[in-house]
Amino acid sequence: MSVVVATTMPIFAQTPAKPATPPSTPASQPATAPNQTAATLAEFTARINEYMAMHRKLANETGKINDTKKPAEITLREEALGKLIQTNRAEAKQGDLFTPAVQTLFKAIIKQEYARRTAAMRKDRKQDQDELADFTPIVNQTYPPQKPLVTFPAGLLRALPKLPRELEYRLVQRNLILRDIEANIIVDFIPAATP
Amino acid sequence: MSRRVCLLGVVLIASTAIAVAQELTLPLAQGSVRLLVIGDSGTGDTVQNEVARQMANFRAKFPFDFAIMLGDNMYGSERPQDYVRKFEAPYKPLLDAKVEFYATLGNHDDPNQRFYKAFNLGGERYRTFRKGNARFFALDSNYMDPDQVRWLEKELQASGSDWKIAYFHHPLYTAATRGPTVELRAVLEPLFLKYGVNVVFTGHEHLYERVKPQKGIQYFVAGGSAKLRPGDLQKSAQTEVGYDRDRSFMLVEIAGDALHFQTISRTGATVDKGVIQRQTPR
Repeated sequence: MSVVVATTMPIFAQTPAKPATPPSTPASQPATAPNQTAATLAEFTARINEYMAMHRKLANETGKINDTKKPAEITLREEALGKLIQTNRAEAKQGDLFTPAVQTLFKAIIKQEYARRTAAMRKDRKQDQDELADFTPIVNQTYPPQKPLVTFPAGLLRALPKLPRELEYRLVQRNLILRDIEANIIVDFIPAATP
Repeated sequence: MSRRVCLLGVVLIASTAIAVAQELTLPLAQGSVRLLVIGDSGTGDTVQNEVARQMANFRAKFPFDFAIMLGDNMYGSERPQDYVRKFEAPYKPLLDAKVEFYATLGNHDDPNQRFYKAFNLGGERYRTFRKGNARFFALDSNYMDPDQVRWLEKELQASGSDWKIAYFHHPLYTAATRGPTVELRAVLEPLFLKYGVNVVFTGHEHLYERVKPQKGIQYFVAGGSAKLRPGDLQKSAQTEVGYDRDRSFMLVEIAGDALHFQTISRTGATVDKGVIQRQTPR
């Protein structure tokens, strides 16, 4: 079984290196007009950059986090940054970063990537989501600490645009979430993103 | 270089007999690398404390210097008091004895745990460190992005250590009900084979399992150091030994080309033991 998987999924070492400046061009893109795809990605990049400018400004207010022996410094800083972001984005709504065009593009990328999955890989994802059955994401909401962060498919990370290190993609049921790691905030999400 | 390590393999000589409670079977060789392996430990409940006491009991006979944590270091909330209840208090005897903990992140862990000094992640989600003749690779299996994969390949390639030991949360091989994370295996296994990783420790499944060597690599699942799924192991042809009746942890001793292991239950019984012999490169 592992041999089949290994031959159907190229290993990362075989994929072209991505530029360091996030978000970068996806490694694989659906068959859409190149200009349209480029424009959509440029728009996504601009919105990510705009979010990150706000994040960094607020993070400066809360202070940089370094290695610490005191857990309170970690949790209080996360909460403080989260509250500042929530206040600053009080009007945030679904689709602010994942615009309709980005949603269409990302759904196509995800559909294409999922089509390459073996039955065993599909089973992986389904079981991982069992612990998130009653979790509906809301923009600007704290990701509930009691809920696990389900492992994100490595193949999809290769296909989607790279994010700044302060942000990450996550899957909650069929929703693709954009999560602020340092603040533990759901920045945006795409409903029904996975097939 | 990569061809050389690719040819490395392991030979396993093990016994599955349940040893007498509290008996240490490790050789305590002079100058050996000694460590504790725990996984899925952060419940903060009575059971975690009982297992932790057993670890301290065994450390009196087997003075390990460090511990690796296979993720799910804290379940549920991660308030400052949770760090105490789920980590600092149970392992106080070990922390007081200057045992260093090297954590990885599980799916129940807030990635901001990487800033907690006692977890030795240095603010990163993955890292490598050397102990004696072994190099350890602590990976974040929750988020295996291209950056991490490139980093891993670079570090594996540069590693000159005799033993290469990877550890992370999600198992690449397991006979537990939920099964292995096959997508992760597709990414990691080629690198492990190419660069000669000898042993892999994972958690996530709340039991103990020694998988038969897969393509020359020895895999352990040790995710039952506080959480337990009794009877969850669906023993398969790949399973060498499994234990899902109670909590457990592992003691490991690396002496030259031999890696000795002993798996101990909450009550102090030895549920598995053996030695992995690292083959000399051809």
